[in-house]
Amino acid sequence: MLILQVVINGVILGGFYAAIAVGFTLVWGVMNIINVAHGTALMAGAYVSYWALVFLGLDPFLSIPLSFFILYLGGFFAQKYLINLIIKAPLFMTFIATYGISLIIENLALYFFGAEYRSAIPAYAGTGFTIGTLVIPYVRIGVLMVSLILVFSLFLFLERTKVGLAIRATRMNRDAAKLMGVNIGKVYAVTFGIGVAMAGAAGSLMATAFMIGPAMGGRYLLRAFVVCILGGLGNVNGALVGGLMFGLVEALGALFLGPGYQESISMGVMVLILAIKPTGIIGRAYYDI
Amino acid sequence: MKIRMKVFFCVAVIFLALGTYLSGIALTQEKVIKFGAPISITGAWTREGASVKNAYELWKTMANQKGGINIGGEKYKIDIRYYDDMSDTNTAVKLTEKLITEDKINFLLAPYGSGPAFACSTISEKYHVPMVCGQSSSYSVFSRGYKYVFGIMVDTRYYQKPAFELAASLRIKNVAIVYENMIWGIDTAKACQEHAKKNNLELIFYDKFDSKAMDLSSILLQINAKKPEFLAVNSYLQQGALLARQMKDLKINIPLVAFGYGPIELSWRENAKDAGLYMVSDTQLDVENTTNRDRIIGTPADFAKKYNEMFGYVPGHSEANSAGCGIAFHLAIEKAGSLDPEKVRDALASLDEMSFLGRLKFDKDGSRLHQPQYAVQIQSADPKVKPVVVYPPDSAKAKFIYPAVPWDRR
Repeated sequence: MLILQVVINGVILGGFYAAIAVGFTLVWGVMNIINVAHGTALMAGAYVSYWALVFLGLDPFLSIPLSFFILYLGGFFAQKYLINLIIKAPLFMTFIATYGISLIIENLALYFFGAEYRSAIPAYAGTGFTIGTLVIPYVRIGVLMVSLILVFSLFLFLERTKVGLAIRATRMNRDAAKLMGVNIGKVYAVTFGIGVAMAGAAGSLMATAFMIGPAMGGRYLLRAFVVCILGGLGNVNGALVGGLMFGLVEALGALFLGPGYQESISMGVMVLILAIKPTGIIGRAYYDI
Repeated sequence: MKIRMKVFFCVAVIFLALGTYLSGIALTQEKVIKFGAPISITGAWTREGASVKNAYELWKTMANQKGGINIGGEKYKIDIRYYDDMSDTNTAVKLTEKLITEDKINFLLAPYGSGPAFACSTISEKYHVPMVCGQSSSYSVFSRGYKYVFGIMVDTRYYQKPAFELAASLRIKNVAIVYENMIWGIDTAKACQEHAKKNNLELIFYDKFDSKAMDLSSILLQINAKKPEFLAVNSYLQQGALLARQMKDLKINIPLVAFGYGPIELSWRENAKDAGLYMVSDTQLDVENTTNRDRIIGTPADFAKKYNEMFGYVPGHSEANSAGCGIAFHLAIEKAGSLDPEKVRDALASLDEMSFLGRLKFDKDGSRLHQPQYAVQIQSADPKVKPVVVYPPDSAKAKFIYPAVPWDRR
């Protein structure tokens, strides 16, 4: 039963990771931008949920649409008026630009909210249901469900809507999409907005289970990066597969090889995937097509 | 018009130069002792870095209000130069060297954490500049024979000592020890092994966990399989609170759970929620103690009141220990009667004075001679209610609740 409990925990953890990575992989895959500010956007989403709880009494799960909307606007305008200026520059330049944006946002959070750790963990955290000796906490299963909904919604949006079609066309061949009348600037702004909004939603999810602080983004950024590599760049389904795989590897690795090696095991698997299948388990780098 | 403008500019430049010159004279008339501190203003240790800086500022403010530091009858104001080490040890090391070689500071106040202090003490040793650490308790910082590093906090050899004594008094037979994989966690866990031996507790589980792990259920399930009577956890705030919450999530019942650090901090209790109930920790600060007193800050209660006024929250022993760095320097510089780093270093080494933190006296290795510690227990689900002293018996303010009430009966 111990191993079954560890597998359940690994899958739930994978849900966290999928939520963290889905926006990151979309932006990287479509725009070829490594958004270093992704973790900071996640932090901003967590603070939106925190303040929604403090001022409006909103449960962090219910404030997800709010953080999604606010962060979408932030991402849309950041892309349109800042990143768009250097969109054709080498990858390194956008990397530096998003790093700068992340520093500014982190320091603004530090200035306005202070360095104190805060908590938006709901009162029902710690309760759950049991099946025999197996325990499944409500909050964590809630996070897994919301992650699946977010990933599936994004998948439907990309597959079934005109904007989604434009995004897919742009990521496959920017020039061809332009010739077909797609407004590339707008597609990029919408894509970046959605990527950042997804980070905001993930931030709200993280607020249900972890401490909130201005510097919290760093620990999530690395995970988003690893999940992208595992699942495949720019592939929404890849984020889900990569996230679940990452969660399972961490949980099982901790059980069999020791909890202190959790991170080393995950990084080892990432290197292995890079060596065997550089495009990730189910993904392809769309901007290369 | 053009001539008028030229005359205006000439006069403005003359006044500006005169003003700068006069303000320079004013500044040089006020004697200043320059302290330097690399601080985690951004990055992973932002919150902890802020608590260190706040405490240094409190000491500076209170000391300067009383005229400053007295050297041979002359008063020197305190000035502290901070740099952001971005929670990165390598950056802290570079900034320490910059503070000494470029900014020409007189003395060093340590950054947050044992890891950075461990690395920065090599620089202070190289340049023979005394450094006092407030929130660096790892014994590794002091065990290398360095002469210029001193520590205010009780070092890791004594962490969790009251909890192990408490466990022995309850006739607990075995213990599981886990730690966050960082220098402080490693040293504290080693100390816990020693406490277990001294108190005849069988060690049935000993392992580490990652400081960035988002799920600690694997280690908790492994601990639970061993059915320990006592779990000793050595972790920083985030992972400690996560571990407590996941114990509740997984309904893991252990009669006694003690943390080397965490439950005494409000942010830990707010994040652990009611999962922190009945958990135990150490504290080195008894706010109600009135015999510990110095002429700069006063009593522990005065410190807590002033800190709350200045920074808006009630401090714990971490902040108190950082303020203690300033007090140690203050008393040592006055004792040395000089700003000479060698003389101040010798004065620190031979210091034996009372402060709001109790007796300030250092061992030969620079660590502080052991001070009384207390075991505290969280006895209210309201995080704003501070844990109460439950051990040693002569200092206890409440009866220790043991065993912890199982999760399904809460």
